[in-house]
Amino acid sequence: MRIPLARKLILTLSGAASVVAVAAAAPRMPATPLGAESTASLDQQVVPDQARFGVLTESGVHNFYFTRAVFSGRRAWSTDYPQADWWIASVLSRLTLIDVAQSENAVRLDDPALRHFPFVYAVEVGRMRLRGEEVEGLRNYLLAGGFLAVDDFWGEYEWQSFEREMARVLPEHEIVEVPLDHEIFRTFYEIDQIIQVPVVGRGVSGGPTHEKGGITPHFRGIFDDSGRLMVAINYNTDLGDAWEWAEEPLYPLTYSTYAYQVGANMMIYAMTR
Amino acid sequence: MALGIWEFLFKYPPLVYEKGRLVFATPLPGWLLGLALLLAAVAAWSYLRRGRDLGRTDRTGLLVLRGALLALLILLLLRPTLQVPVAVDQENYLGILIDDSRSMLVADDGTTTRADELIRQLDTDLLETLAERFRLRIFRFSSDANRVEDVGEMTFTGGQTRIGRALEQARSELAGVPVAGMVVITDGADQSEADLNASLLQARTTSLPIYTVGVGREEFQRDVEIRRVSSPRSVLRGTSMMVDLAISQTGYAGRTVPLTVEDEGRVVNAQDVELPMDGTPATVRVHFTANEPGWRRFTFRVPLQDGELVAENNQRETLIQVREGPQKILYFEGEPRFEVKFMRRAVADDPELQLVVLQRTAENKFLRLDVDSGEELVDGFPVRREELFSYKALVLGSVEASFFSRDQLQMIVDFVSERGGSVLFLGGKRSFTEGGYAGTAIESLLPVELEPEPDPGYYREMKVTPTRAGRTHAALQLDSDPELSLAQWDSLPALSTFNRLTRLKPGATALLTGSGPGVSDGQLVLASQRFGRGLSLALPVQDSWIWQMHADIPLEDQTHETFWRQILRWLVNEVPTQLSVSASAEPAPIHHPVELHAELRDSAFQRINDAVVSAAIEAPDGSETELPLRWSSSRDGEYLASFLPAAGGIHRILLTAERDGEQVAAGTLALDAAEDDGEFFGAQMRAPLLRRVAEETGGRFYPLSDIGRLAEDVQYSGSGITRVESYDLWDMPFVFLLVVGLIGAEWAFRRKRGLP
Repeated sequence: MRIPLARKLILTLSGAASVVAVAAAAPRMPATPLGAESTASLDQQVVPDQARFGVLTESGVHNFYFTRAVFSGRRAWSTDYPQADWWIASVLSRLTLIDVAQSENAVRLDDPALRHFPFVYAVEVGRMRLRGEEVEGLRNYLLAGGFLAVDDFWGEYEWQSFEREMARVLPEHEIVEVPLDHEIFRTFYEIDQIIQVPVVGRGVSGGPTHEKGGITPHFRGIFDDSGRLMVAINYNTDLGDAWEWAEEPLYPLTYSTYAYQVGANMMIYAMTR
Repeated sequence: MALGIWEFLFKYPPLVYEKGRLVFATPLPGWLLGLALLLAAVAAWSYLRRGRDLGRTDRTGLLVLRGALLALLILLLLRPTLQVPVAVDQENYLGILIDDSRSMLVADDGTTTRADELIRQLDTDLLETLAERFRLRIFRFSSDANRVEDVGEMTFTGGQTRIGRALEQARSELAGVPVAGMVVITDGADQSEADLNASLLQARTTSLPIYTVGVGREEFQRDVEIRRVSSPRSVLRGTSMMVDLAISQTGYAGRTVPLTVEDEGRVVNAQDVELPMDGTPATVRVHFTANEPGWRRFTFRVPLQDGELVAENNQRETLIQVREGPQKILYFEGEPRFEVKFMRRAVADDPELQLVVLQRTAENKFLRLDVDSGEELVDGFPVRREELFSYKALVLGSVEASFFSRDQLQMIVDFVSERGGSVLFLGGKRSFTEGGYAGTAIESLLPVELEPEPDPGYYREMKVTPTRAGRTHAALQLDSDPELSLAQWDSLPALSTFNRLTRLKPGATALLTGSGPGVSDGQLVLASQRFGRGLSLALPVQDSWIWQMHADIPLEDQTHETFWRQILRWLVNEVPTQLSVSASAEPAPIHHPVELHAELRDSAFQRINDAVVSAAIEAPDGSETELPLRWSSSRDGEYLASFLPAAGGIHRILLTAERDGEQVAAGTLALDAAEDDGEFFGAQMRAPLLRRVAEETGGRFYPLSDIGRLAEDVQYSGSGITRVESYDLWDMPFVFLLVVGLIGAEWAFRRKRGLP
C-alpha cells in the first residue's frame, strides 16, 4: 500500500511542478485577505459608466493581452480582478511562448477597443444583465472572430440567467457540452477530465468544492458555423480563484494546475483556430 | 515622272550609273588632243590680249563661258562611256518568291485583296519580259518555299511568313547554277526575325542581291488590333486574374468598343474600352476569374468595327492551366499569435489551398494543424529536403534565425532557388534584423536589405498604401474595379510593425508601404523578388488580423480574406512541379515539328538523368500517341522529343517519368496547334523591313505599283553570268542642252554687256 501512495504523490507533484516553479518565480502580487472576495477598487454599479477601466492605451506591442470583459450586472465582472489576471498573464508567459502583456486589461463589451483583443475573459456571468449595446458589441466581437471564455458561475439559477443572456447575443447558436476528445483539451496540455475548481476558501479548508447547488463541473461551449469554438464556458467551477491563489501554500496544487492548464489551452486555441 | 525626265536627259536609268564604271574610249590620237589643248591655250591668250579693251568683269565672264564650252568639247572628244555588267540573256536564273500566306488576302482598300492586285500586276508582260532575259524559277512561300510553275498555283493559305527560311530553301534549289538575284514579293509580315538575319548574312557573303516588292499599304486606314496578351501560364481555380492587353488602332481614335473575355466560349468578362490615339498602343487591364479546371482557352475579342479591313487581328487566344486541388503551404510560426488564427480562417473555405501550420507554443513544443498524417512535421520544422520540398510555399512567422540549424537555413534558400517554391517572411519581434537573420543564408533570400543593428524599441502603427506597382498587382486588388480597390486600401485601419525595413534589394519590387507618426520614410510593408526559380516576399507586419477584427470593419467585409487568399495563391500559382514541360512554339503551327522540352527532378528536386520519360499525346480527335523523350545529354534533367501536330486544336500531353519501374513524376501540357493567325497581327506592309533586306544585299525595294521597273533593273544586278556593255554618254540630250546653253549664255552675256 505504501508504494502506490508514494507513486501517486510523486505523479501529482511532478505533474504540477512546472506550475509551482513558475508561480514561485512570478513577481509577488498584491493579494487580498484569504477567502475574501477579491475585487478591484473599481466601480461595480449595474451599468459601468466609465469608458475604460484598466484598458491599455496601446494594443499591438504584445501578441496577447489577457482581457477582462466589463459588463453590466451587480458585483459581477470584477471578481478576482486584477490579481487573477496578473497571475495568468505572468504564468502563461513562462509556460508558453505567448508574448503576454503583464498587466490587467478590462474592456467594456460595447467598447470598440474590445476588437483589438480577440480573447476576452468574463466571470460571474450568472449575474450578467447586458444592455443592448453590450449585446451588439459582444455579438459582433464573436462573429468577427473574437473568443469569449467564461468562468465562475454556479448552480441552475445562474446558468439559466447566463443562458438567457447568451440567447440574446447569439440566438442562432446553442450551448453544447464540449466533449473531452475536443482539440481544446489537447492544444497545449492533455486534459482528460473536467475538475471542479473550488473557491479558495473551500479549497484550503478541504470542504466540499461545489456551491449554489452546482455539483457537477462542466466545460460547455458555443460553436460557430464552421465548427470552431467561440465561447468556452467553465460552469460550476472557478478557474480564476485558482489562478489567483496558486501561490497559497494550503491551496491544493491539483486545482491550480488544472486551472492553468485549461487557461493555457483556451488561449492557444483562441490564437490558432 | 521624275524617273522619266531623268531617263530623257541622261539616256539610261539611274541604276546604270550606280552599277557602271566610267571610262574614256576616245579613238583620237594623242597629237590631236595636244592640238586641242594648244588651241585652248591660244584662245585664252587671245582673250587676255584683247582684254586690254575690256573690263575685268567682261573678261572673266567670257573666259569662263568659252572655257567651259571648250572643256566640254574636249571631254566629249574623249568619248566618256559607262561600262556596266549586264546579265547574259538566258544564262542566269532568277528566283521569284511570292508570298502565299493568308495575310495576302487582306484588302487594303476594302475592295481588292493584295493577292488580286499582285496577280493583276504579274499578268502584265512583266513575267514575259523577265523570261526573255532569265530562266525564271517561281516559288510560293509562307513558312516554307515550294516551287510552282505558274502564279495560278498560288493559294494564299499559308500560316506564317518566313522570308528568311524561304530564301534559304530557294537558294538551295538554285545551288550550282548562276543566279542573277532573288525577287521577293510579299507584304513583309515576317514573324521570324532571327531566320531572316541569318539568311541576309548568307546573301551578303555570296553577293546575291535580293529585290523586294512590297504588297499592301504601310498603314491601314481603319483597323483595331489586339497586339499582345500578357497572362499567367498557370493559375489556381478560382483565382481572380488580371490580364494586360495591348490594343492599337487607326481610324477609330476615342471610340468606345466592347472587349469580351471568353473561357472556352463562355463570356467571363465584358467591359468597354476607349480606343487610344492612332498608332499608339494602349494597355487595357481585364479582370476575370478562372473557375473551370484544366487547360482552358481564353479568347479576348473586340468586335469588327464598321469599315474595318482585318477581322482576324481583333481577337487573341491564350491557353491557361487552371489547376485544382489543395496546394500545400507550410506556415511555421515561432510564437503563438493571432495571425495564425485569422490567416487560417481567411483561407479555410478555399479548396485550392491547404495551409499546414506548425505553431511553436513553447520551447521545443509544437502544435500541428491541418497536417495530412500523424507523421507530418512530427519532429518539428523539416530537416530533410524531401519533407520541406513537398510544400509549394513556406510562410515564416516570428521565429528567430537561431532556431534553425545552418543546414535548415540553407535548405530554405534551396527551397526557393532550386525547388522553385515561394517564401513569405512575416514581421515580428523575432523576424528580420530583430530575429538575427543578418549574416545568415536567409539574408540573401530576402527582398529587403536588413538593418545593421536590431532596434528593439521600434514599434510603429502605420497606414498601408499600395505603391504604383502594388496598385496594378493582381494579388493586391481588393475589388474588381481598380478605383474601388484603391478606395478600399485607403479605408483600412492601420497595422503595426517591429521591423524597420526601408531598403529594397536590387531587383526587388515594393508593393505596399507604410506611413504614420514616427514611421521611417519608405517603410516597406510588402516587397517581392524573384530568387532563382522561386519567389521571395517580405511582409513585415504582425497584425494583419486587425483588418478582420477592427470595429470599423463591417462583419461582412471580405478584405482580410481576399488579401490572404490572393497573397497565398500568388505564392503557389506558378511553383514548378517535379516534371515540367514546355513546347518550342505555342501555339504550334500545323505540320511543323515542335520541340518538347521537359525538366525532371526527384522529390528532393535533384535533376535526374536516368529516368524513362514518355509523353502520351491526345490529339483533338481523341486519338492517342506515345512519344518517348530522350535525355538531352547536354544538361542534367533535361529530356527532349520532337512532335508533329497533324491537326488543329488542343493536344493534351501527359508526361510520365519512371525509374526502376516506378513512376517518379508526372506533368501535363496543352498545346494548341493552329494555322497561325499571327499573319493578321501587324499585317500592314512592312516597307522598312523589305527596304533593309534589299539594301543589305545590294538589291532594290519597289512598291507593287513600280514592279514594272524590276525587269530592267535586275539585269544590272552584277550577279550570275554577265557581260560588260559600254554605253556612250556623249550623245545624251543633257550634253546637247549643255552645249546650247553655254553658247546661248555667251551670246546673252555679250548682248547685255554691249560687246561685239
